[in-house]
Amino acid sequence: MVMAEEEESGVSIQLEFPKGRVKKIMALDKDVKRVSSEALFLVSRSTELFLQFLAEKSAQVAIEKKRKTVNLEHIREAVKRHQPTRDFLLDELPPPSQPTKPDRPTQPAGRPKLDPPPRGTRRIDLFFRKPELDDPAQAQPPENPAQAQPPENPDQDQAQSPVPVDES
Amino acid sequence: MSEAEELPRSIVRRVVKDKLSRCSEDGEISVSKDALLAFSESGRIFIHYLSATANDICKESKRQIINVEDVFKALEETEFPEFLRPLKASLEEFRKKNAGKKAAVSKGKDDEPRKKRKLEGESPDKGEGSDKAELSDKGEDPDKGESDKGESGDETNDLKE
Repeated sequence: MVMAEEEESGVSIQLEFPKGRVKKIMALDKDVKRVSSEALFLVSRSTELFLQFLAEKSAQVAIEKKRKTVNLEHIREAVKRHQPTRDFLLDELPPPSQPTKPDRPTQPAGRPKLDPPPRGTRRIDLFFRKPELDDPAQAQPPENPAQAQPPENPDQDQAQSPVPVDES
Repeated sequence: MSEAEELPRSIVRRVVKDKLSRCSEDGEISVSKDALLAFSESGRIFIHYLSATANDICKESKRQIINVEDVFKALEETEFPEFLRPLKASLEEFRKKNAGKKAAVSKGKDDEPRKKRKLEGESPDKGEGSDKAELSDKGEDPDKGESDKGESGDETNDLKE
């Protein structure tokens, strides 16, 4: 297909879209039966003008949003702003891409969820924590409160304890 | 949807990019892939919308063939009056071009015996061949007279073949 050529009058009559393709699209409508060649030319040319119009309006939206690439959202916005286009086109456009909502609330940003460390490795801050006892029985508080109190004088405690005597 | 039922994407891209290059002064605006698909789909929907509206106007006038006036009225009805001026200018040029072609065809009929010998061995003219292909696509004879003309005086396209 040749690019649109400007005639002496400055009007391009070289169609961009092939008439055959436009005719096939029109033929999909069961009610539309016959169309004159001039009417077919006008429908094809109108489609060109419409796409140029839509491209211009979409570009305006993109420029407003300080974007260099026209995307689907810009087209949707351009269609919404023009009532005649909105009437027939808005519902036919693909829906806007919505971010998927998570099922459970996400973790706070400060504490990202990390993969579990390999076996045998220890956390770097483990050194600063109280040592956790492996035996849960030891973790239980003693039943006798007297036993629970630590000896006040460690030296005295040592003196009371029997010292092994070497009998030899 | 088959490719035959949608507008050629390469042409849609060219029409859109050509317009976008004229829209921005500081630099060319590009088009994303999904936007290009949306433009193509929008063009297809517009064809359906316009032809359906023109067809309704045509039926109201108790006619079978959609003509130029039906399309112009449809554009007014669908609130795209800004297209009318450029379309009328394009149509004038289209008619001039067709009138020139018809004159050349009728002149060619008189000179046919002389030209046949000259053109022997040469490849047929590309433009003329494509024109005949279009007519044969419609199932019409290119040499037919006014019998297959529409109300506006141009050839008609039977969409239900």
